[in-house]
Amino acid sequence: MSIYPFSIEVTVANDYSDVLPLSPRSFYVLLSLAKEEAHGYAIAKTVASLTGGAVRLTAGTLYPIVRQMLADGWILELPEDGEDTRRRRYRLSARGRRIAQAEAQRLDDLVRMAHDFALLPALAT
Amino acid sequence: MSWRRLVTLTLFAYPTDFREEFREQILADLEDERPEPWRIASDIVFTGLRMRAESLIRDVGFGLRRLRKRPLLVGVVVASFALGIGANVAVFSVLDAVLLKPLPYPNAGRLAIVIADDKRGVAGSALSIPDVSDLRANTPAFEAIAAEAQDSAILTGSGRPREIDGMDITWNYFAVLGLHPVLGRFFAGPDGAPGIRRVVISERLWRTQLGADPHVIGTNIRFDGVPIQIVGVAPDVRVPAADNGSLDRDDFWSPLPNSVPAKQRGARYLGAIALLAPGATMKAAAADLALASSRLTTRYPRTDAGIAFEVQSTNAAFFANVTPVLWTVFAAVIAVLLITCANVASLLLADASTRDQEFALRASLGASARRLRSQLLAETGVLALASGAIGVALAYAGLQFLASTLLRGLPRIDSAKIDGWTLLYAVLSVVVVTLLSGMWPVVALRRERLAGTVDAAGRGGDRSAGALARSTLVVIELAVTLVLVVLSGLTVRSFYTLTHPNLGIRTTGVLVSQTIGLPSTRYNQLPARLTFARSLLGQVRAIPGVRDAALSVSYPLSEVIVTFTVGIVGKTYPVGNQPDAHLNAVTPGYFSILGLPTLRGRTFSPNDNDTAQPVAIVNQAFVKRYLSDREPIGTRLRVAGWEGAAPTTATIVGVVGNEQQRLSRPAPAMYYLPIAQLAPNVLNAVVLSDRLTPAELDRSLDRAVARTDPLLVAPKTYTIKNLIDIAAATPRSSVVLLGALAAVALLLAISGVFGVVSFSVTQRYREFGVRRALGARRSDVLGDVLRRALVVSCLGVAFGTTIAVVAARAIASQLDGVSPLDPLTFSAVISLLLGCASLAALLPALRATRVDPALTLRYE
Repeated sequence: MSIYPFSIEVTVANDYSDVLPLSPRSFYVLLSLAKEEAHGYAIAKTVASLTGGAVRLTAGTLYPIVRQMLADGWILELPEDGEDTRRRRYRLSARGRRIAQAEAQRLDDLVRMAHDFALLPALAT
Repeated sequence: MSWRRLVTLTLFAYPTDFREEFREQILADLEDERPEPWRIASDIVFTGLRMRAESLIRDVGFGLRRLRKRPLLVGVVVASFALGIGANVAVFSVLDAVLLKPLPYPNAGRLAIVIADDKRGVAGSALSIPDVSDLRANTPAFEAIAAEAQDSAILTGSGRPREIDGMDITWNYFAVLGLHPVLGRFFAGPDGAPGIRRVVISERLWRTQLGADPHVIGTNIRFDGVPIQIVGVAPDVRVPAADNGSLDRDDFWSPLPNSVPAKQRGARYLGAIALLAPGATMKAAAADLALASSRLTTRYPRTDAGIAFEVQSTNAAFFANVTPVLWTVFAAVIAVLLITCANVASLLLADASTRDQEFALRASLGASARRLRSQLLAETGVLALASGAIGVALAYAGLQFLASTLLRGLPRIDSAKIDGWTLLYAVLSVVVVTLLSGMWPVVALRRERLAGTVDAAGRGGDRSAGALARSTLVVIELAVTLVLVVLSGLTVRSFYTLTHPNLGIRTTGVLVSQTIGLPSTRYNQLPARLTFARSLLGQVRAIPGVRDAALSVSYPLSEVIVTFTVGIVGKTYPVGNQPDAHLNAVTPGYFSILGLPTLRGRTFSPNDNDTAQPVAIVNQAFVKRYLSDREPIGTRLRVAGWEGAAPTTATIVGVVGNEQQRLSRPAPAMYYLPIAQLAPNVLNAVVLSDRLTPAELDRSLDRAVARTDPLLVAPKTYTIKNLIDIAAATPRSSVVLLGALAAVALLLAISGVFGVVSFSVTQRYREFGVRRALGARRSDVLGDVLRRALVVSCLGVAFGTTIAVVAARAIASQLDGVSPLDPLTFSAVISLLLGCASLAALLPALRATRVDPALTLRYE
């Protein structure tokens, strides 16, 4: 349920703190849409291949996430392209992209810390 | 089922709007690849349920926030629901404990009661020992049959003698129930051999009298001064006394004698409890018994003609009296809950119609109609759930109160409590109440109301979508109320008839004692019994304040009714068709104390003693039934002796007026014999006194009995009024409960009519203003409002009367002395309801006449 038919892009990256951290599933869904638009089934397949099958989204679990993201304006539904009328294609909104970036940044920071604290080998500089 | 269909089905776990939006995509994905269908199906179910739960939590949260702003609505709704649900839960827990719960024995599900239906009406429903052994051999549907007879004993030894209740049982009695001893053992076959005296005692007796001594088995206890060996301790549960139709809390069990001469085939005094063989049905048992009956009738025509053995469920045997009362009261509380729902529904409708703007706004912001509906329902659900919790608390408190007051006499009432089943019923009530009262505003929320034009309501009168719904609710409410008030009116009239009986006797200044049983160990000889009776009568007469006293075997409304066959000398009867009548043995004062009129001849005199000619007195009903063809005085009766004594021939010397033995039953044919000639071993005192209360008489009687025989226990005494109250206890609870429920229903209905008319008047304010401005008189407006209210009320009353006719017929068996279609009750209740409805409509109608036309026009 989307109250506004468009996303309002007035927030700054810092303000995503209330939605972060994302659940791994949500992050992978955003990640799979980062390069190109896709329909639901393609999203699920990309996520499976990205994680080597560790994160599996079935039709049963994927679409509730899709719907929530649509409602929150993280992704947008594209007009039908006439090829497959049953499927709908989704792309990342600017807001969704920023959220994914913020999450990636958060994860990157964590990894850096892990290196600094010798949990992982020191980074080559 | 194909995996595709399975997945399609599981999609219903999703909330509807989501399912509609994504169904095609999900199915398209499944066609491309067929991964493990079970995994997808379970994914869908879990995710779907989670989404539903989340949306429910959102709705509930929203509802709570909204309800916080309407404390008055919340207060009224929660109070009505809590009372309605509370009453329902309390009554259900009683119904459950008394009627629905199985009896507390492992074999409860397979138990059945065997009765001997005596077509001649002599023996009632009891069986004899030979009956039981015959049936054991002839009924394959029964795995075992046990028999029992009530007994009592006087516990002597330490302190004052105390009377305790018990049973004489066949050795397999406890095995049939499936009970196990707490200590020691139950009986075995040899325990019933003649000359052996053994006893099983109750856990209660063991704890209170014997200090829970673990070494009690094998020791002796003294009954009537005679030592008896204890062989076992039975668990503390009520046990079925089939001969008495009750579940008794007994303290001892002794074995019935094993071998009984065949001539005692006609001595029917046993209750029989049978254990159905595994897989056998009641129907099969009934067929077996019918076959056995006809076989026995042919074989023993003298004793078994007219006897038909039948099987009864334990419920029919033990709860037949209270079953209709409990179901009626249960139906009544459900009716009250329905009325409450109707009332709350019209409140919610009125509330919802003030929210048109809110709904229209939210709909335009993208909320689907489904969403708004589920939110509305969630609001009602929150209210109902809160009320349910309060209701259960109320029921908990109310149950203690009811169980210790009104319902005290019900069997098993002490086990009524709030348990899992009761809570389940409470949850069910909450759901039903939510749907019944919450659906009205939901249905009224039509799409067009969400579409926008909100301000039209009120301009042309009460055209809001709920107007028709509200009137319907009032019709339902009035109809249900009418049914309840009619039923309670009928019950009240019946109760009045029942408690103001024409017993045929003096009812003031007469006190009677319960029966004193003379133990057979010391009173097996006639002279001993006669001496005791003479001595006791002398002691009772000497009690200060006693104007006159008599002894008898039975008295009006007594527990003891003795029915014997009686023959009229000079008449012959076909086998199995001998006259029978109630027997009472009395001392001479009995008739004058009870004020029974002597219609012919004389009553007994002190000269009618054991050395004089045997004499008898009969009552009017006896003459009418058996002696209509001859002069009663001088007719000779062949009467049985007491407890197997030789039959004698007694000459009728008098005819007295009828005495009623049971409330609401016609006076039976009775014959009286002098105690001095019959020497019975059960006696009670009948006392005439203007000033003694039962408590005072109890104390004096205690001393009188102790002086006559220190090992006997004095019985309690009652006034005739007490006896009527005790006999009418169950009808009284039903009258009070139904009356209270009817009163509540009436109040609810009045407030319902008031609320609806009042709301409608508010809606039509502008209309009235315009009409007044156009020249309508106040009386026109008043008439209009009242007329509409009256049409609705009449509809409700008409429906209600129709249902009440059916309902009254259904409870006809519970009514005494009043026809179920009693015109007085019906017309009184109809006028009462129409009167109340008109009054409730009058106040808002008067308000409508005070509309200021000028003020209204200013708004137009």
